[in-house]
Order: sequence, then structure tokens, then C-alpha cells
Amino acid sequence: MSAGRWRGWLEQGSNRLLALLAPGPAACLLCGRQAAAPGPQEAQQSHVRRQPLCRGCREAIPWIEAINCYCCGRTIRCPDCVRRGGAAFVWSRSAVRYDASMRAWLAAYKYRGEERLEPLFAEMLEPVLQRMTAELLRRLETSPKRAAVVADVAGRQLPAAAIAACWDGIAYVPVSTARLRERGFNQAQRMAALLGRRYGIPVLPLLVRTRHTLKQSGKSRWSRLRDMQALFDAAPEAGERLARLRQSRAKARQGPDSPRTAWRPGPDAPHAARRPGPDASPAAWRPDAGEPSAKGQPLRLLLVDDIYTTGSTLDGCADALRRISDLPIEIYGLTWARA
Amino acid sequence: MRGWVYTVARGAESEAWATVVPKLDQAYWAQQRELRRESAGAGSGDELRMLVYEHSLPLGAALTAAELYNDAEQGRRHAGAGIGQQERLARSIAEAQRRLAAEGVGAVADLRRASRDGAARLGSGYLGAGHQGAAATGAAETIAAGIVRLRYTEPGSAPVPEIGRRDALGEPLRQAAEAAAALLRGRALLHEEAIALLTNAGIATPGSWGWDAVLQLAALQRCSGLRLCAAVAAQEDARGWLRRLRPQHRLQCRRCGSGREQLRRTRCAACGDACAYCEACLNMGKARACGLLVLGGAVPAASSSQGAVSGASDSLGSGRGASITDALVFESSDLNRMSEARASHGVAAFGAASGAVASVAAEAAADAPLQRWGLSPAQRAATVAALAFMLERQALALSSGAAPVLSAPSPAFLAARDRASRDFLLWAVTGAGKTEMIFPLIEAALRRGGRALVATPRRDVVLELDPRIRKAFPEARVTTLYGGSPQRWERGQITLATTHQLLRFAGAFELVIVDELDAFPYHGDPMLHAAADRVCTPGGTRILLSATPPPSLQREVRKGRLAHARVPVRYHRHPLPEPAVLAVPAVRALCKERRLPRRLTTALRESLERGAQIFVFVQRIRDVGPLVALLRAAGLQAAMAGTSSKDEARTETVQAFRQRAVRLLVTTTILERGVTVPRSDVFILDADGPLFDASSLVQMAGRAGRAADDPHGRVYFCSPARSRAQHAAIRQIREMNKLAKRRGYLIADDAPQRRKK
Ligand SMILES: [Zn+2]
Ligand SMILES: [Zn+2]
Ligand SMILES: [Zn+2]
Ligand SMILES: [Zn+2]
Repeated sequence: MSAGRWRGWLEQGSNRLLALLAPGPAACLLCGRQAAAPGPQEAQQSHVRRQPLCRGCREAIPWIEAINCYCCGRTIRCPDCVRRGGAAFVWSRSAVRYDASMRAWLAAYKYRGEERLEPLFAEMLEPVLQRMTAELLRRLETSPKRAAVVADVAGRQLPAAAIAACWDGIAYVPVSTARLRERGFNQAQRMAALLGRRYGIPVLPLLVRTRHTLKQSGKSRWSRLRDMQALFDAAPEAGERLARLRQSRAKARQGPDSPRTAWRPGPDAPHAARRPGPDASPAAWRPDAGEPSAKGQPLRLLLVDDIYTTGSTLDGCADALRRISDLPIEIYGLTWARA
Repeated sequence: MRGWVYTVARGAESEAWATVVPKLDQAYWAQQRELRRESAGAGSGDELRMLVYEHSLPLGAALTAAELYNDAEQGRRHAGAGIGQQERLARSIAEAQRRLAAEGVGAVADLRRASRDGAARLGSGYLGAGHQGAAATGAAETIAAGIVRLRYTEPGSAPVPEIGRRDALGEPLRQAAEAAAALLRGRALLHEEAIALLTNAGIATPGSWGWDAVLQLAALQRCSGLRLCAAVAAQEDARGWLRRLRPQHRLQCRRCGSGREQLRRTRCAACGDACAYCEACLNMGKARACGLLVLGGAVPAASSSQGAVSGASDSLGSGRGASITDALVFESSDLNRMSEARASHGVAAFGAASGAVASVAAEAAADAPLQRWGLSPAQRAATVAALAFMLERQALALSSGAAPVLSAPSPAFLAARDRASRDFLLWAVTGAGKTEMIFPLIEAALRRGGRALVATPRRDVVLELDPRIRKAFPEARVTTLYGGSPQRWERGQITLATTHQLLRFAGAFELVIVDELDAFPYHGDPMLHAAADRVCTPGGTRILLSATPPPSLQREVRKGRLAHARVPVRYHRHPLPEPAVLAVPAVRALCKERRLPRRLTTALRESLERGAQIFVFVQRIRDVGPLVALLRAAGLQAAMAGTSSKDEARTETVQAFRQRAVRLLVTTTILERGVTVPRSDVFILDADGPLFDASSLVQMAGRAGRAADDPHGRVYFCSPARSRAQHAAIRQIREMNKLAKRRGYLIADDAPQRRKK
């Protein structure tokens, strides 16, 4: 018997064995029913690809497809943003409307502690991050030729490299130490970590919560805002971290086109700092890349949280960061839900 | 959480403890030392010394290390001295870390690495030269802000004046610990659940001490047998003969018994480790490797009728004199059956002479004013058998001295034997009236000062049972537990609970009645079986109620290994309708050809004409709609509807069916149990299908003929072929009818009616 035939048999056998061992159709993460691929009726850009969801749960997601407030990404025109005037963050976008089913999902994850939902929450942030980046590129682009390219690509999907080039880092809203100890995790940090690992954007612990607030409901809007301002502070090493980030980004932007190692989610990179592959030179995606001085370029950060309610949390956090940075810094909010 | 591990030594003997409030432990042991000094005289050289590992550990590791140390000490006492105490502790810590870390429970590589790093850090931490030197010179402890960096406490070197005093702990703390331990008897609660229970009971934390101190002191003093352990921990896995020789350690949820498949490791901010939590019982709160599980001691065996519930037993005993005089007349067959059950029981004491059995049975009869409950002869006979079993168990528990404590580790085979001798199966046909039969059992348990638990699978059954129980036992404290129940932390003499609530108890009830253990959600859920398994006190009794016991139990019954009593007849004393078999093609074929066979339409028409409500059962939800359409087209002239678990208007549809606005209802097995409609016939389509086993066929057939004024409902098994399950179901029904006839339970001149088809 020839070796080739043996090999064929072995392969056949092992394939059969693998088929036996392979799990059946995946179960929906939320309800356990059989998972289904996204249907044609779902918007092109807003769906969950990797995490198993059944049709019912898929269709229950109230994606925010069109916004009516440039500042906070709300689906309706909002008086909050008009009244507040200048916020410490540039603008903010959210993935979904915070309706009853999303409330239930968040409760399962955050309060009941079903941490297996984590990758789902992080993945739901991806479409909105895609769109935010495209929007940012469009707004910042001055050369009409490149603007056309951007508009064309953004209509489909931006490569991960473009997203990585656009954002210098990801910060997240902290929870108090007592909460952290009780819950065992900070949902904003976990989402930020997964997102950072996916796109190769560094995730930085920059903020701390200075005290433990009671539940927000039952306070007037203004007292809530006032509370928030004093609630967050920059972490002790935040200034140093920002400076280091600024340096490494400037070097990456201005240095010669060095060969880049293929990016893969390595286990040893909790705050993934490696860059994505060379499918498009990241620097080329940087709209303000041509500017001469590294010092003058603002550091562009994402600030991740689970829910955007009044914007005061994001505002408080962004304010704390801007206070410690003597160089320009732009902060954009990215939240899972918009209340 | 993170905790500390330390040893306390006196002479050559030592034991290890883990704690999250080192301040308390220090104060406690310092006080113990003072007490010893006073009684033995100073300088006797036999003083307590404390050795504390200076770094905190994830709590699970600290607790496991203490357990390992103590296990090793037990062995060492026999084997003689070996390595030093310090090194023994270090080894225990390293081994604890290894057991908790080595397993890849849903872990990704970096999490595993994090654990490994932890272990490495540890290895160097303890045995570092600096520490050893300090220990060798017997350096005194230093205490800074509650963080312990203490190595040895030597005689006369306690520099902290506070804890040297005898009253450092204070009487209020001691009292709180004792009260807490008493309240937590029979409970298995997560840390925050235990605190919620204690707060709810109105206990206050004394002075500057918190709840952790109260629990820790209770554990140190072993108040009421209370123990603290990690909610998820490495357990010895002794399955298989090979394993028994070389035991493996697997992570397991100590609350629900789930293994690695149900555990998930995540980077945990509470302990800083890659820490596992249990997904199986997550609905009841998060059990994690760095979280505490508080195990209260077992509820002590109730002693005779001078129980804690004398008030209740008085009221129950009213009319007792009369009930003794008109005590039951025992049919000899009943007594024989009972002694048979007992002789085959496997426990030596139960093989007693039949005279003893008779006396116990007579006692049961005298003790229970059964008359009050208006039972049928068949119900009564089965109840008496169950009562006799229960009393015998109790007598046995009392005679064998103090009940074993739950926390005492018992070999697996002993536990299994106790399990086998503890269960009693009440096999009552559908419509036998099993609820009435549990009342006398509960009554008997209460009269002895015991507590009773009735566990049913569904919340609606609990809510329905609640008023009936309260009415039957107006003096007793009744606690009704289900998800979101306001009585969650209360404990009554009678507890009604859905199955999941059982997870919060261990060794708590003298009498446990488990309803429908063959049904969802028990069915195929080892977690719930494990929970139902340990809620009994060591000497208690577990009564299993079922119309269709699972095959494993039926086998035990046949082999004579399971005590049981059958109730072969319905409360109205008519036989069960025997299913007729109709050859009908599969539903899918019917829908495809859009044609119903005449023999089916004829049978349906006959049922409608005799005024019956018709249940039509199908295998799958997707068959419901097409079949309703097909039946509507068949010209039967009756209102029809379909429903399934996916039907949002299910309650309304079933209501319409009950009120006869709908005459024919197509449904799946969701209505297999529980729904009783007085005058009804049952058609089971695709009766040979894989989703209908013998039990569900018997249950569905049991919908027919439930009312006394229409006891002969009709049941049809419609299928292209006859399956084994159909045969088994028909055999079960016939056997019960035969038994009912032989025992004379049937109403005269009412032989099982057979229709020819
Ligand atoms: Zn689903
Ligand atoms: Zn707005
Ligand atoms: Zn569990
Ligand atoms: Zn932990």
C-alpha cells in the first residue's frame, strides 16, 4: 500500500473524527436558541458577525443608523447638547438605543455578571467605531481627491489599519474600587480592551473615580452634572502615559516606512500596542499626517463607556484628561447604548 | 476577595486557617493564648504560636491552602515528624495554587499565564531568606492598618496591648457570631446572600467589626458547625477505578456541583487572579473561586414530639383521641408490602422482624389523624406506608446517637447508602390526588418538631399550593420561595419552593417532598438533582412523587432497592382509560397530502358528539399550524385552535379551551402536565416519534377521564408504526388498572372498559 493511500485514509479518518468532535450549530449567547446568520433585512454595516445570536435576538437590537444630534449621536434633536454648549469631548456616538431589551442585556452582563456576553458587547461597538472613523476622516479631509477615496471606502468598510491610524489610544470610564471588588470587572474597561486588541489601538488606564456616587436617578440634572465634574480624576501616572503615547505615535507617523510585523491578537499583549498589517500604510490614513510638527498634532483618544445618559460622565472624564495634558488632546465618546 | 493564610501551633500540633479579616483572627488567637496561660500557668512552654504567610492570596487559594495543610497534618500525626511547619505551609500554598491554576477552564492562554506567574511569585515569597531569618529569631508580629505582616507570635512578646486582653473581641461580637451561625444552619449561601439573610433577621454588626468578622468568628469557634469555604474550588474527582487510586482534582462549583464545562475563568478584579466562576447557577448569584460559600451546620435531628413547634402540634393534635379510636384498619397486604420494601432495603436495621415493623406501622396509624384528610383507601394505604418509612428513619437516626454533621467529610459510598435508604417513591397515577397525600406526611414531620420542604418544578404550582398548605396548617409558619419571593431569607416550618431555590439549603429539612422529579427542569439537569439531594438532614426522609418515575427509579423498584408505594387508582376510583391504537400516517405526510384518514376523522367526530373536549398532541411546534388548518378543512364543525411554547396568547387559548369556546386544541408536550379539563379525550399523533417517551405518553393519556362525572375519557395513540414507548406506556397503564382491581380499589361493577377499533 502506498504512503499516499495511507495518508488519504488517515486524513479521511481524522476528518471524520473532527466532524464528530465539532460542536453542533452554535447556541444563541442570550437565549440558547439556535444561532442564525444575519438576515438580508439587516443594515449592511450594523450587525454582529462573530458572536452567535439567534434571529429573534438579532432583530431585537435597536441599532442607531441615523443620528440627529451631531454632538451626542442621538436619533432625535436634543436640547441637552444645545444647552450645555462646549463639552470637554468633541462628540460621541453610540451603537444602540437603550430600550427594554438592551436594558435586559446590559443587566445580564453588568449586574448578573454573565461575562460570556463580553465579546458580544465589544463586537457591537465595531460598526459604530467604523462609522465614527469614516465620519471623522470625511470631516477632517481637506484634499478633495483623498476625500473621494475616503467616501468610497467608508461606504463599505474601513480596513482595520485605517481605524488604528486614526485613533491614538482608548481610554475608558472607571468604576469605583468598591464596585470593582464587588463586581469583579469594569464593563467599560473590558469593552475597551477587546476593541483595542481587535484594531491594535493601545488601551490606557488613565482615569480614576474619586468617590462612590449613589444611583443617579432622583437628582436634578444640574446637581448631577456638578457631581460628575468632581467625580473623576486623572490616574496618578496618566500624564506620563499620555506623554509616552504621544512620543511613540509621533515616531510611528514620521519614521520611514519600516517593515511592520503582521498583527495578531497575542496573549501577551493585554494593551495591544502592535500595529496592523501593511495592507494600507497606516500613516496614509491619517488625515493630518502631513503636518510638520509632532508637537502640534492633537492626541486623538476614544473614551469608552456602556451608556450615554446625559453626557456628564463623558464630560467629567474628558475634562479630567484635558486638565492634566498641556498639549492638545481630542476626546471622542464611544458608548454601547444611548439612553 | 483576597485572604490570608496562617497556622496556629501548640506544641507539635498545628492547624491552618484562612481569613479575610486578619485583625479578628489575631485578636481571637491572642485571647485564646491568654486563656490558656491563665489555666496552665505562665511559662509552661506549651503556648500558641501563630505563623502567617505575609502576602495576601486570592481567597480560594488561601482557603484551599488551609484545607491542604490540615489534611496533611492529620496524616502527619500518624506518620511522625518530617519537615518543618513553615515549609509545610509553603508547600500547601504552592499546591493550592497549582490545583486552582492548572486547569484550563474556558481559559485563554494569557489567563493561564497570569496564574502561573502568581504561583511563581508565591514560591519565592515565602521561603525568601529574609523571612526565614526573621522567623528563626522569633521576631514579633507587626500590625499596620489591619494588614498583617506577622510571622511568629512568641510567648510574652505580644506588642499590641489591645489584643492581649481577654475582652478584646467583646461579648456583642461573640453573641452575634453565635446568633448568625444558628440562623445559617441548614443553609448554603454565597457571602452576600448570607449577609442579606443576617441583615434581614435583624442582627447588627457589633462596634467596628463587620459581617466578615462575625462569620469568621463563627467559623473559628465552630458555632453550630458553620464552615466557610470557596464557592468554586478544586474537588477530588473519584469517578472511575483509576481515579480512585490516583485522585485528580477538578474545579467544581461547591454550591451546585457543576464541573469545568460550566465554569468560566476571567481576569477578576476582586482577587487579581484568573478566577473561575460558575455559569450554571449564575441566576442565583455569582459563585466564584475567590468568593465565600457559607455552609451552615446541619439542622440537628428533631427529637420526639417535644419539638420547637408545640403550639402547632397541639392544634394539629386536636381530635387526636377520636382519630386513634377510628384508626385505620390495616389490610394485611399493606403490611406485607411494607415489610417487603423494608426487607429489601439494604440497611441492616431495617430488616427487623415483622413484629417491629407492625408496631411502627401501628404507631404511624395512631399518630396520624389521617381521617381528617379524607383520603381514598388507595391514597390512605400509600400514605401510611410512607409514614411508617419516615418514622422508622427517624427512630434510626435517634438511636444511632447524634446525627452526623454535614461538614464531616463522609466517604462517597456511605453517602450513597444513606441516599438509597432515605428515599421513598410515591408512585401515584395521574389524577390520584397526590397533594392530599402529602398533608399527613407534613403533619407528621411538624409534630416531631421537624421542618418540611415541598419542592415542585414550576412556580405556578408553588403559588397554587401556597394557599392550600396555609389553609391546612393555619398555625404553622409557611415560607414560599421562588425567584423574587419576598420571603427569600425566612425559614418556616413548612417551605414551598421551586427547584432552583434548593441551592440555598443543605441539610435543612427532616422531610423533603420532591414533586415530579421526572419533569422539566430536573430532567437531565444534574445541578438540580444535586441540590435536591443534599437538602435533607442526615436522618431525614425524602419522598419522591411521580406518576411516571424515570426508568432508573423503576429499575430500582423492580430490584427491590427503593422503598415505594403505588397509588394505582384515581381519586374517583375508576380505572385509567387504556389507549387505543390507530394506524395513521405521520403528520408531515398528512399535511403534504392534505388528507386525513377516515378512521381518524370518525374517532374525532365521535368524541365531539359525546361532548368531549379534544387534546391533539403533536411532536413539534412547526406541526401545530398546518395541522390546525387541515383539521379545520375536515368538516368537523367545531372551533379549533393551536398553541405551543412559542404562542404568546397561550394562556388565553387554554382558557378558551377550558371554557369550551374552543373544542379541539392542537398542542405540543407543554400541556402534557398540569392542565386538567373535565370532560376530555386525547389524540396523540406521531405517537411513535422520538420526542414521546413512555412517560410523556402516560402523562398525555392522563389528561383524559379526570372528572368523576366523566371518568372514561378516550385516548388514541395515532401513528404509522408501534413504538417500544407505546407498548411500555400501555403496559404501565394496564398494570396499574390490574393492581387497582386486585386491591379492590375500583368502584364495583366497573371493569376496565375496552373499546374495539
Ligand atoms: Zn437569542
Ligand atoms: Zn445631543
Ligand atoms: Zn454553580
Ligand atoms: Zn476572583
